[in-house]
Amino acid sequence: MKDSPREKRTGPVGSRWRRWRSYALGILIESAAVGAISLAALGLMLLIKALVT
Amino acid sequence: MILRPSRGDVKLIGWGIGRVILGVGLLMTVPLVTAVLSTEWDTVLDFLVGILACVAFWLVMELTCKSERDFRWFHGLIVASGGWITAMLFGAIPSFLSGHYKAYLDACFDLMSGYTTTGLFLLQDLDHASNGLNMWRHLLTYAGGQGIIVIALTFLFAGTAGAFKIYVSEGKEEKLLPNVINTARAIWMISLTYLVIGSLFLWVSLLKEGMPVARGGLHSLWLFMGAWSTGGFAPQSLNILYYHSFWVELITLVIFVIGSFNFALHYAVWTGNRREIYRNIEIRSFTTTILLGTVMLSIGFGKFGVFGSLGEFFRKGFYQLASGHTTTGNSTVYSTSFFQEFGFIAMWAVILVMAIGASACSTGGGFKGLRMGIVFRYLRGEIRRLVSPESAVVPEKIHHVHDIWLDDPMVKGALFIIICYVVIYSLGAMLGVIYGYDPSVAFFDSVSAGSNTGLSAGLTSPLMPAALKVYYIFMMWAGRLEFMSIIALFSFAGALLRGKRARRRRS
Repeated sequence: MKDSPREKRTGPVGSRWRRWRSYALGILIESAAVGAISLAALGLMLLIKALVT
Repeated sequence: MILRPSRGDVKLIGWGIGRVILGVGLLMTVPLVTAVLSTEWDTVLDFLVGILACVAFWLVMELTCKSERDFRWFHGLIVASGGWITAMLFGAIPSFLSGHYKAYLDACFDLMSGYTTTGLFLLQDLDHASNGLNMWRHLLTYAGGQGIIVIALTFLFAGTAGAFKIYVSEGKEEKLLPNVINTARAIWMISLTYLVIGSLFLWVSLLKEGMPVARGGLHSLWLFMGAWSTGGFAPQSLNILYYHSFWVELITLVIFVIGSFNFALHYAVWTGNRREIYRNIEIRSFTTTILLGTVMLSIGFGKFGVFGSLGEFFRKGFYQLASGHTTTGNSTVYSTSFFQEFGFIAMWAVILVMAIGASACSTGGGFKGLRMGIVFRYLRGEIRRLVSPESAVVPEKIHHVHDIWLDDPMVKGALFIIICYVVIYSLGAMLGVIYGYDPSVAFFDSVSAGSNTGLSAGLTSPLMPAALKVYYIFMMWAGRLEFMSIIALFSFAGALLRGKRARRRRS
């Protein structure tokens, strides 16, 4: 996990903050992906429930 | 064919396995401390015996097998496969001494289930197990999810030039960073970050349900470890059903689905390559197959009229499906429900997604989304080739962190591993049927063990035949290491025997 040249210029605290902000955004995106898949499944369940029963 | 191993080869492998066992001994210090803090003195003694056995084995290996040679591919494969079996034998010592197991074989079964993040268990009276033993079970799945070798690489093989060869032999083929030791550390950084966040969310949910602070803290940590590693262990015999909490179910669902993602994908998304989340072949493959499974499950539920409300549909149906697909094994229904309530179609929907499994280079098992994607793209390419003019070149590519053009060796490799999985699933099911179990139940538990899932339709219990326990241990081991290391280990054993016979003939 090396700092980019731009991060090096901002100093260790700035680069650490930017890195953890990037990680936090990554976690949010991954959680949103799980939410989207679950919602799609829920929609499908609703549709099939309406069709089958 | 493997050439006859020399004494130096055997010594190098012995030294590598010794280091892995030292890692197991170091891991045991965590449940030891837990037991001390919980004033469970019998458990303290069990773990002290376990640690002493591990350290003694490491010392013997270090003194007799120390070698200056470097690892070759062949050594890495044997250290990985042999290391897992030896780690099972040593790790089972404190579990067996706890008195919760009918036999040492049962303790070995649970250890292999933990290391391989399967989640099937033969432990008796789980609801009254000590905190130390519970910490050990969950720590096993958490550590096993990252890979025992990854742990050893992080702490004990630093500076070993052949480290990459051991890393790859554990079924993880991708390097997140150019250096394999840094790759192992990056895997730990991702897992520990999620550990803090996930456990915190679970703790708040459990406190909201009225659980005491300390007990809630331990349960949240264990539930996270079980879900993230796609192991599926829980501190109560009813698994997630015990908590009767929508929030616990939702949080564990999010944790185990994210836990089933490829570590290379995590690393790409975390470090700025955000579009990877929808471009990656494994995410596309997982989304497609889980939605197809949902259709099958919904039809099955609708046909048999079970789980009427949409909430039940989601909490009892989709949860099991996602748990099966990510090869986790967390469950919100009784194990008998799969056979008695789900009906044939919904039960087979779960079996099929369990067989497919999670992502490559993740904590999960099964065929893996990457291989499904490769095979699907290959078939699509073949169809396009059929309908194109004869002279047309129809290249196919997949996107996994970067674009990869498909070639024949890649497709053959993926198909070979898929066939190996189908063979072990089928043999396990046949063995179950021979012992008199219902074919659907035998298939369910066999696929669950081979894909390292851990859901059970009721076959897996301390009363199951010993031969089936041994075969399930083999399935969990082979499924987790993805066969190549196992084939290498058997070839190594064969080459050793051939060597001994040849020497005997000469003398």
